[in-house]
Amino acid sequence: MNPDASFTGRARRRTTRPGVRFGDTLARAVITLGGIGTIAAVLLMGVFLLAVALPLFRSASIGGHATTSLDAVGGGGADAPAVMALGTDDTGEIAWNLDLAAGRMRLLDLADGAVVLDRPLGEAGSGLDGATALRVHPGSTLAVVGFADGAFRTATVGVESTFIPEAEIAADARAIAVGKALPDANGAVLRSAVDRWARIRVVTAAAGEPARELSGRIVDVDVTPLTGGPLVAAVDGTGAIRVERRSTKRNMLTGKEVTKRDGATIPAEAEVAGAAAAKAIHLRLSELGDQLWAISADGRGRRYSIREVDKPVLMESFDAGGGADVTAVVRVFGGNALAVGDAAGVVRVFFTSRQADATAEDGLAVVAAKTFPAADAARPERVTTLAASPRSRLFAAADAAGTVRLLHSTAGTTVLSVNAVAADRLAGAPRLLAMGARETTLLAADGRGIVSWGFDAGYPEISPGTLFRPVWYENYPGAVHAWETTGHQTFESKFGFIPLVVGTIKATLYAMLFATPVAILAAIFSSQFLHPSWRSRIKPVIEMMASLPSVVLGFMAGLVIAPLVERGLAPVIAGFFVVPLTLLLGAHLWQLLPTGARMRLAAWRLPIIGCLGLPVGCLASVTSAPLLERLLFGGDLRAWLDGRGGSGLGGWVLAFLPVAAIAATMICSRLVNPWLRGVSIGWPPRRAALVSLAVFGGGVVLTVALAVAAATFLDAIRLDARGGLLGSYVQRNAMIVAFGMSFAVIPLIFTIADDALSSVPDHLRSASLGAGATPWQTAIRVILPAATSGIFSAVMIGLGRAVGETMIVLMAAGNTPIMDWSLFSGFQTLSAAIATELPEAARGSSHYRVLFLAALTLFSLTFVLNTVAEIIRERFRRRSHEL
Amino acid sequence: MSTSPSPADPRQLPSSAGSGTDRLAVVAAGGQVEPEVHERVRQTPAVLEIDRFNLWYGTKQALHSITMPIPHGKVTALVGPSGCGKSTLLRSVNRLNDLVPSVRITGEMRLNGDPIYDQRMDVIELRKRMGMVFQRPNPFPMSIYENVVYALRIDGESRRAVLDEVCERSLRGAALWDEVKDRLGESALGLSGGQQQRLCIARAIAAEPEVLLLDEPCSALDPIATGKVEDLIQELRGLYSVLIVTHNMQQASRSSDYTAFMYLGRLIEYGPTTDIFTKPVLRETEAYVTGRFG
Repeated sequence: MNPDASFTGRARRRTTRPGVRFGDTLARAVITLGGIGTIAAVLLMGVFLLAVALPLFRSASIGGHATTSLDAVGGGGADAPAVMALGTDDTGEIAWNLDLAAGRMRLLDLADGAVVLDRPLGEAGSGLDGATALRVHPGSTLAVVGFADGAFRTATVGVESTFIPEAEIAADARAIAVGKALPDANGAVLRSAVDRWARIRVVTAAAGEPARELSGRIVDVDVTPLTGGPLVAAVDGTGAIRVERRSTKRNMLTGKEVTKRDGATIPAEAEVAGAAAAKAIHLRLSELGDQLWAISADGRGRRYSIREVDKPVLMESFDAGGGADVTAVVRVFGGNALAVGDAAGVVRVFFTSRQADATAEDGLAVVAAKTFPAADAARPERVTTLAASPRSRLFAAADAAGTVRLLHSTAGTTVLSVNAVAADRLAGAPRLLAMGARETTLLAADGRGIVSWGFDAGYPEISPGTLFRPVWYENYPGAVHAWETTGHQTFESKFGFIPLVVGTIKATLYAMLFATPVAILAAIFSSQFLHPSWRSRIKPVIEMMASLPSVVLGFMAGLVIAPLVERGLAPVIAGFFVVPLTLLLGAHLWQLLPTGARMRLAAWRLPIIGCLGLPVGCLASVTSAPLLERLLFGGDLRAWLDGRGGSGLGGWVLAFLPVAAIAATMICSRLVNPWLRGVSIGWPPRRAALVSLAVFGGGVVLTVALAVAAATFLDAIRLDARGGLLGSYVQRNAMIVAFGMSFAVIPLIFTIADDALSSVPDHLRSASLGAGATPWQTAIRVILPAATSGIFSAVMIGLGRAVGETMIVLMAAGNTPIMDWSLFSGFQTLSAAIATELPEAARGSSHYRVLFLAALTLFSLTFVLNTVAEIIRERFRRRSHEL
Repeated sequence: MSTSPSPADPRQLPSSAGSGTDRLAVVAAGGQVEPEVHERVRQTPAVLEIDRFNLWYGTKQALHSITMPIPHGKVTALVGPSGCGKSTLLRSVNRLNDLVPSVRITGEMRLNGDPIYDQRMDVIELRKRMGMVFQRPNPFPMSIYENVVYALRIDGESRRAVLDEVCERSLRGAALWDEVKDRLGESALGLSGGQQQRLCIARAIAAEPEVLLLDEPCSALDPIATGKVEDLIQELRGLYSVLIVTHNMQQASRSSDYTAFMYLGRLIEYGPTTDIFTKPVLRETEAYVTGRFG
């Protein structure tokens, strides 16, 4: 036989056609590529989120240093740092150094420490001679100078830099190398590292009349700018304090400026005056000018309220030193907190907060919220000086051993540490510190030299500790979890993740508590009891619900349902119990119908009971609500929730009703029904129905009795649901979110659960029914257990949706990151925080990256949930083969 | 369908003439034939009486005026080619067909005198009076123990002693006790196919049914498992009234007391098994039981 001749006689090719082969290869390649691409896209998303969020945990780094010796330029002296000021210009490339002891102003190139300009103050320094104290307000050029004779006056000190327009750049300026500066008449011209020219103008001038209320040598001064004029405070060697507010007014006609000074002198306290005058007193004003803090060298602190500047009131005395002498004090950025360094090397951050045991009449007390131990615990050295950053709650501390540390007052962490005393740095311990305007430069000076470092603090306010542990924020009564990211410029950002995580869990939990039973019962009903033709119509409708845009659901929940529920809270709460009761009652009444009618209408019994029972139930809820309020909540549910009136009983009764109902059902089915079954043989249907109605009534009474008993017990042991699960009602709350979210979640759970229940092999159903089980028994005892895994996976997928849901919680949850479990309070979820805050977060800022961390958390959460759901579904599929 | 003529039957009845499949041809053409019911069947007391029972799936009639008594305490086999309505008849007995939409019936069935299709009949109670075993073993996804006592559980029985006793008695009755007595708490899905089917029989007899309905109980089993189930059916003989649907002629001949031959929804011949297999009245029956058609 010819092997090529086929059975049909037609010649057959023995090779696959190239076209078929090509198509096969192409399809395989496209499918493989698509699959890999999908996985890669998901991975890439994770990698991207990680890449943005991870730098948050980068540790701070410090760059090289540059040293300038003041010996060579003819300055210095042991006491010079007391009347010295340091800072950088806005570019961060030039440092300025005002040295009132030597009467010189210097500009230093931070790149190499070279002196750009060093000249006597001359005319500009008139009125500043013989200064004994100097304080420059960080971030501005406002300064105050004190003198040996007790006088003090404000001044303008520092540099102002402006970029030079391209057209105005002088020829000699063009010749400057990049990063170098050239002195000129007013200061210097800088060609910055980014190749732009800037004019740096030195400003040094005394302003206004000196104040002469004090008589001793001025030991410390402070100033804060207020609208209208600066607030100035000074303390002299005798311990007397003068605080005054200066406002300058120009007479429009004469052009003459008149400086008005309002203030008061606080005489030295006896014990302070008695102490050695050499023991200086540290004086600090709050940024807002409402408080004055005076801390004596031996650690006794006093807080004055200077809301009325001419009538300072001593609010309280506090211990600022912890036993050791106080050696340095600085006002931390924001002006609410003081960092205090002591002779034992410890730095503490103090601020006022509302405390229960406060003795001050304003109810506040000074607390030592953060404590930074000495740099070297084995050999603690005296803190020599402190300096605050002009733009964040970072501050620097130097000790006598020359260790300079950057500390963060919110996080309570040491960001970095560097040694300032070395052969190529300073000879002695730093006596003056400063942080550059851009928070990229750290300057330290002793009397004879200045050393500078470039540094990158990273994201010091973010650490696992600040994200996940309670943090004691400024002016808070204690450590709390808080999420509060935006405020005024000096606002202390609170990046506590936990309120958002709790909000997310709360939204998910309450939504699932509401949606899961409804969805699963609906799935049982549609798969086991609904006529197939009805099912094929109803299921797509419910599935279509899943495609409702969540913004619409959020809108409905937040702007339609929320006000409605707020107006009728009591009927809604009552409805949860009354409507199911009405439907059950309807089912029992149905049994009382004549047999013939019951049989004829059998197919319509659910629609009939539903259509009659629902309106009747709603009506009953509305009418019974006032009764419920009067019986359980002292007449007013809202007032009760606010904690006004009533005992804890009412809430517990409602909370226990479902549990009590289950217990009562079990008691009935275990004890009453078997007995009834024995007795009722041969009864006419009507009698049986009446008896079962009576049993139902008894069950309801038993349920209420059980709930009241449990509630009375809990109330008797002084437990109150208010403050825990219940609380003050706000319009947008967890219950509203649960309603809204259930519209998104129920269709999802319903569809998958319905499929799982329907895919239980029919022979199991037949077997159960054949054994004489009712359809309900079959569904609960056989179908449901067989579909458990499928239902579980449905719930997990619903959970995944609920966790990531954004618009509904955004619009209906109120976006208040409150941390409690009350059903009636608002909250904020991770997703809502991302949606609302990301557009306003500066790219690359801590806020921005923390939001990405939130996104990463959410991503991992949904990823894990979906993976678990998928694994369980896989198990379910395998198991269903065995059935 | 075989066309070879059957051997001449000396007791040929007037209604049957010509080849052994003439009646079948009449039935296939939609005509009416009178079923041949042996006298001995009529004489035995019946546990279940089927009386002029018709059943339609939509417009298609699946059962045509079936009238047959099921003898008390005996094993009755329903045989016939696929699609002849055996299983439909069986599922009509415990009203499982009620679940199929568009089913319509006329006629009557009586279980020990109680009309099954009466409006006042409680279907749930009715099914509790019958045990049913299906083609494929269908244990519930629960423990062996819970499978056996399922019928009692749904009745609300929770006394451990009663359940234990029923479980052991039923498993012994189903010849499974010795194999599973040490692992009653394990999942029934872990049993072999034959064990599962005997478990289903144990489950069916646990409620002490008045009739046991077996729907091709061995069709999904291997020969060894089939043998065991058949042995079991032999043992059930005399203890229960059994109605069994089977495809397997050997099985019918070995394990039943009475055999009914059905074709296209009609009862053709019904008599004692020995008679049906050795000296059937109709040649059509003989043709089928000897495997020449069907």
